[in-house]
Amino acid sequence: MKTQTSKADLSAKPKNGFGFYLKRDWELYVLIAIPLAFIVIFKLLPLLGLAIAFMDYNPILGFSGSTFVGLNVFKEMFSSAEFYTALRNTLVLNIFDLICGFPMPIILAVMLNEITCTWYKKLTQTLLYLPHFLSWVIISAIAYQLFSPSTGIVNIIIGTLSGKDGSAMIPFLTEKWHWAVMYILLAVWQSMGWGTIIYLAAITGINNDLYEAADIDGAGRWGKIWHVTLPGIKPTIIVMLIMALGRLMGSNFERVQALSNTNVTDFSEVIATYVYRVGLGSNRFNISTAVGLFQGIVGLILVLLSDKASKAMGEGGLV
Amino acid sequence: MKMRNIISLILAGSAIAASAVGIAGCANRAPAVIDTEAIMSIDDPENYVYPEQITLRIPVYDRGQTGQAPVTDNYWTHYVQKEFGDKHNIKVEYIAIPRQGEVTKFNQLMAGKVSRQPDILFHYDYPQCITYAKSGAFQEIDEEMLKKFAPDYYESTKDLGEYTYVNGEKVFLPGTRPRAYNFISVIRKDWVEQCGFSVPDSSVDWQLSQEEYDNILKTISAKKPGGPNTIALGFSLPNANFGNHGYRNYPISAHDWALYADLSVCSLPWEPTYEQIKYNNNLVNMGVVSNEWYLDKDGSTARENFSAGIQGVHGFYLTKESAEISALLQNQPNATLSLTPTILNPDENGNQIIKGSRADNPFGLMSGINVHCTHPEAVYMYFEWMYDNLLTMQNGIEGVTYNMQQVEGGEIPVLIDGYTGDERLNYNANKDMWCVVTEGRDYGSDQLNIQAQVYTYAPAGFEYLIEENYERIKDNDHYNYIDFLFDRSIDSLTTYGATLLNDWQIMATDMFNCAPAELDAKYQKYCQQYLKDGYQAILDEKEAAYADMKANGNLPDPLPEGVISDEEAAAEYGGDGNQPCIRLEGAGTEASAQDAESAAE
Repeated sequence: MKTQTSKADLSAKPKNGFGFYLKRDWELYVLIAIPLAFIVIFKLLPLLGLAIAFMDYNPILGFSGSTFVGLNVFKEMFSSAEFYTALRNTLVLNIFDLICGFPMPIILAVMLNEITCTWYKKLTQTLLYLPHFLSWVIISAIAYQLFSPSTGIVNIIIGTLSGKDGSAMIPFLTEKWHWAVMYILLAVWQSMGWGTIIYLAAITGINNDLYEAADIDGAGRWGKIWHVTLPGIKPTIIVMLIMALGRLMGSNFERVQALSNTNVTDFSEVIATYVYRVGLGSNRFNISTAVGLFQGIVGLILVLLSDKASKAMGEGGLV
Repeated sequence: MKMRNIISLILAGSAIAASAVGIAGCANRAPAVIDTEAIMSIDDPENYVYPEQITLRIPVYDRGQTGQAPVTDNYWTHYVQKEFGDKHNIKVEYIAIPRQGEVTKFNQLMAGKVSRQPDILFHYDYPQCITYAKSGAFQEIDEEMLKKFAPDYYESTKDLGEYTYVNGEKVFLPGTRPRAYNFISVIRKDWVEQCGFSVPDSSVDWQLSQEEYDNILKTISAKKPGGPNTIALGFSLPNANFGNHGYRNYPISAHDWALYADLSVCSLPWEPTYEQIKYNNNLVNMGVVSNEWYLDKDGSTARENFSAGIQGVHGFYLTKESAEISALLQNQPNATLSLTPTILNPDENGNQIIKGSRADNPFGLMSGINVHCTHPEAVYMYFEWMYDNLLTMQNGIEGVTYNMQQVEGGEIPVLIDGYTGDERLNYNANKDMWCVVTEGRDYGSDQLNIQAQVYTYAPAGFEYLIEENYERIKDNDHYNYIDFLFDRSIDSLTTYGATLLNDWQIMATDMFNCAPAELDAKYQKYCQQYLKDGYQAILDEKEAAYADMKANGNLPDPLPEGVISDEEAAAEYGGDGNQPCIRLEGAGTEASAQDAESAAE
């Protein structure tokens, strides 16, 4: 799509230079300058700080005063058992997040699309969006109140219903396997509503003629979903999937920090919390920078690979 | 395609520009050159006026207290400017330092432009101060200059001289620490009585054996005088500072004192720590603490529970506006409190076994002068002014924020409750401004000081808590000893401290919660992991530093009461005189080898 439009532009005005466009569309360039400045200042300039990963960095002495140590920091990082635990947890939790969290907004969007009663659809949508606006600190506080083994309402109800209060307590958030499931489910609950927006927009873009044609061919609801809606939003799904794969190495610090406790650290220590603990806790900025850099590079590789795979399968990509 | 090129050109250009700026920012970080001669030729420091205005940049803790004026811009910062700054033609600028994450903030400031750096850096934690010193943040203090520009302050801190040197260089300006009596541990007296036990009128006389005390806790848990959610004892996730004094030898050998007594990291493999863990495991298994105690990472749940009237025992710093006590009285107006009983610890003959406890450091805040500061004399003048004006800075304006009150033995200032005018003091009576020179109020005698503390710290009707606490502490205070302080930085503490704290909290959760029969096996397993994760390296480094200090005669002389030399300890306890501590098998582990390497560099 992109290449087509730019080709069209080029063929229309092949000889005009940048100055011409700048003069003609200067308002647009001013507008784009703002997000561009944001990217430069907050995303690109900080990349210079990556130098810390190759130094015995001491903030008091600064960049010029700290000694260059080459790849020693990475050697230390790769020989630390903690790093591998954090890496394993990050990958496992994120893979399950992807498996459970990724299809939910799609299913939900398709379901919402099938609702014909407008006010009910709007109400549902609004309610579904709400959790997105709650911070993880709040969600975790509520979760701990609800699911606490001895005083949480959920366990009290389970205890009363099963008739053996006390012994039937389920340690939702205080036993690592239970915790891992809750960790995933809470995120699904929080983000699925918000995630539907982009798919709903994509569904709106599907040509109505297709549905009419399907009707004529005798397709039912399932048939229309399967043969029209889902293929219609397939490019969107692929793009979202590529982006989600890029986040496979990332982790939401706030979510883990707020939900974790010392009984579940076996599973809850992820790269983000490791970087925070080592970097800010022990003031070892070089280690946390190195881990961050590693995380970023792996993320980039994942995005490029999935992009390639999607192109190989004949779909559009990102790059 | 063209657009793309242009964008990438812009991005590349800005990256280059930024790196140029970055490099420029790194330049000129050489230590300040101080013209000592010119400074020492100033005749009358008290009335000296700088011919050209200088700026003094002083950090101040921001504790994020609601309802307070900004810490860097309020009546009292203006007062300092007017009374001190204007007189000397000094602009005093305050820099807010968040109390949580202060090291990060100081590091950020020091990594930034020299002209925006604070003139002093400070911390309450001695090892952290040494870390600052070792990373080159401080300049050497010229003692003659200090004496000349801050004579009164110098006089007040001269007993602390031994703590101000790092590797033979004087770098610290200490604050004094008068003894405070407001950390208290209280129990709900009304509950204890409801459960059928008697409590004497004054807790000074309340002495119980461990079993008797445990029995009270168990009865409270069983009878639930505070409703179905009653918890007998406030208990939360331990931090690195894990007290084990009750199980240490008394007196302790200097070796053990040096290696295991500090607060920076839990001494897990040391026997007294094991005994304390066993006791805590017992507490959890007795069911006298909350089932979810480990979810309380900072003691806030325990505080809420006590305030809500569902928790029996609580330890905290009493303050005049104590939120705990006012909330408790609102929830349960009939609640009464007593200090927790003294636990008796008799030997076979019925004599009390003395157990020392941790004494506070003899100093308060430790400050050092920024290596880039070109006017150390102005810092000394500031400290001198602060010291000379403590009465005003701690109490405000007479007749407005405080009145002088006649008490036994003299006169002390007493703050007027609830004053809300302009001149009101900042949080905790301006403490974060005057903490550079002292931690508390000192009116020259114990008698006056304790009365001042009652007025300062006790909410109306609870004065007895401070008075009784003082009565109980004063005769036993000399048994307490301070932490051992190394004269150099123990680098492995900084390297492994956070990892070990993380380990320790996870291990403590498991070890306190497990069945008593499982404890020993878990303890053995965790000790090995803990040592491998860095504690062995810390012990090795400390052991070497201790041996070096001992060989060079740099151990404190005399040793504090409660600490004896290794030779005396060997004679007293047999063997090497130390309490056992598990070590990794085989000397020179990987971690310690790495450390030795980095030390050699």
